[in-house]
Amino acid sequence: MPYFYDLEFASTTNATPSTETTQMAGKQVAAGAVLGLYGFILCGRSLTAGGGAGRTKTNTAGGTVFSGGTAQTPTTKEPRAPAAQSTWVNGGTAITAGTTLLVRNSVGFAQTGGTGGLQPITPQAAIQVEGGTTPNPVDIEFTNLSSTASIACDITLEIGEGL
Amino acid sequence: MGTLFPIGKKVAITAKSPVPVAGSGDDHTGKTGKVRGYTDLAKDDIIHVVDLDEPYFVYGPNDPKFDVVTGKPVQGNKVEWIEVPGSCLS
Repeated sequence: MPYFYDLEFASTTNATPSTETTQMAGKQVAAGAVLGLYGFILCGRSLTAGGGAGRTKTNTAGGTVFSGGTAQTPTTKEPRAPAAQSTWVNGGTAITAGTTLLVRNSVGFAQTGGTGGLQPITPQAAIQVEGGTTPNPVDIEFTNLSSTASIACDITLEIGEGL
Repeated sequence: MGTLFPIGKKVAITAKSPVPVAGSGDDHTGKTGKVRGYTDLAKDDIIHVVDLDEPYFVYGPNDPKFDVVTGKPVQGNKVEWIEVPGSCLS
């Protein structure tokens, strides 16, 4: 059974309406455990009605990995669980996106607070990063965009390591 | 293949990374920590994940905000690790 972790980030969508910004990203260390995405939740916090979306992308093996961002450590669900092996960043400082990104899902949220998100129906249905000598895909990235500029949007990721 | 420090080894950061890496783009010269793993073994200058001995906080443009009772920062991101190429470690 995996060890589970969560990460939260209070993001702000792009200053140009309907423009994507990379808000969070993660990758597994070499020879790390299989990394799975078990939850991706977005919550808009605006007084202005409108629509937003969050997208999950994987960076195909061979692509250049994302860079930059502010390092963020996943919080363990079980307090005595080991620290996550994977490394994660948020957009506290700008993230430069990877190069061979494939959109894996897109979930909607209401700018005024209607939460949007997804959770896989089984662990095998989770988007996974194989943790070999060279992880594949090389990273997983999360973006959001909204019809109104600069919307406050909380993002929660739930991840697991091992299957 | 470039310098490879063993996992768990105590290291010191001796130079700013010449290449973009994840975690923070700041100059971390002088910080110390332990090697947790590698995020790119394929490069000549292997990228190491270093768990810092002393975490630090990064604040957004309107931060920091402080707890009125304790005086401690209540917002910001606690940075516990950084990525560093092997050539910047000793």
